[in-house]
Amino acid sequence: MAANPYETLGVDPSADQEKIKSAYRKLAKKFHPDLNPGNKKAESRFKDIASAYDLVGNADDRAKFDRGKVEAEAAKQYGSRTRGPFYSETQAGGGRYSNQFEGMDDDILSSLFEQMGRPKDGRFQRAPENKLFQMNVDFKDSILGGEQEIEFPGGKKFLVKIPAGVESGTKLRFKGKNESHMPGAFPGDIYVQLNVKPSSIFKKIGKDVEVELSVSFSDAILEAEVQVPTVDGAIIMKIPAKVTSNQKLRLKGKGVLDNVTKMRGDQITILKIKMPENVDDEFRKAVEDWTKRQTKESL
Amino acid sequence: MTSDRYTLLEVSKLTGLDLSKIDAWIAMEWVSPQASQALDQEDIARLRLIHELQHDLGVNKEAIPLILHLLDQLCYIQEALRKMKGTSS
Repeated sequence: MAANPYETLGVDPSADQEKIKSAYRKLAKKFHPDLNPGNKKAESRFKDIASAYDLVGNADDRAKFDRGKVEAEAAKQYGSRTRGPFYSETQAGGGRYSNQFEGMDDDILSSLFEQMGRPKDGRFQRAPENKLFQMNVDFKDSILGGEQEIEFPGGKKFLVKIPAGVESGTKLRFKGKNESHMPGAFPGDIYVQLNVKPSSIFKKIGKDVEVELSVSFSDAILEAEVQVPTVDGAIIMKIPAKVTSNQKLRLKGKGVLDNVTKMRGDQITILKIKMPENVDDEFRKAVEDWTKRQTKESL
Repeated sequence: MTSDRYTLLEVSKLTGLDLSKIDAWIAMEWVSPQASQALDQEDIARLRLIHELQHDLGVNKEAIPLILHLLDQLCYIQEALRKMKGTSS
């Protein structure tokens, strides 16, 4: 190592120890042989850097060097001390530690070669081409799950399983289904993006489904049984007496199907009380009487 | 690679690393000797690498196992590619 250690480390001779240490760390991270296995140039550069740091890496050694007591040429070459082989050298040709990945060839090498466009047997092939298709999904299918056929260009049909509770924009992957006609090409993947059509009746809130229900004035005051839509079809629901507008009634198990727990969320029915369109004299009189009674009671 | 084996004490003297440090790294499974009191060149080189990563390069403790894992994987892939090249040429 004939070069001046300061030059090797890329620092000014007047730099403080912290700066020298920082410069060394930066270069060592870049050229450390174990972080560049098999790269002889990096190894040689690292040895120069380490030797330079040996000379000026601490204040005492640096003072000796600066006083001319240690010549750069006379400095021991890094690696000529007691240091054995670098770790990556012990793994070349199959080491105990790196061999732990043996048997995982399919996972590691296949993913590597797929990215390189080259199969495991070493023959070069064209990189796989993926295709994205759009599919509109009914709101009910997005809640409960379902199946829908999609036709790809070329006439090939495919049955797509729609997962329950799927969000709009979800992409389903069909690995290797994009068969290419190009010689030597890998089959690519087909992605189907699901676009959930909004419902004019239902709204998905997490695992629950919300629905607004119009209730007549009389039904709101008196107890009633009304028909209410659910994603499973209309059902009869009992409305208790004296409900208020925006009151929420819960229908258990009529919401989104959870694929993991296999349980369904609830339907939240929000009551919207509808005032009668025609108010006759009799009704008006009844309300006036009621108002008077309320006023008296509050006095 | 030489098949010489060294005791923990010998390794400590050879590398200048504290015995407690070597013990800790073995306990954390950063180094896995084939026998508890017999380390080979691979183990020693791995210990040196861990020391250099921590002491010289300032890598934090959490990143060490990750670097070791990726490095082992890289060495494995390099070896697999080398073998592949040997069989295809």
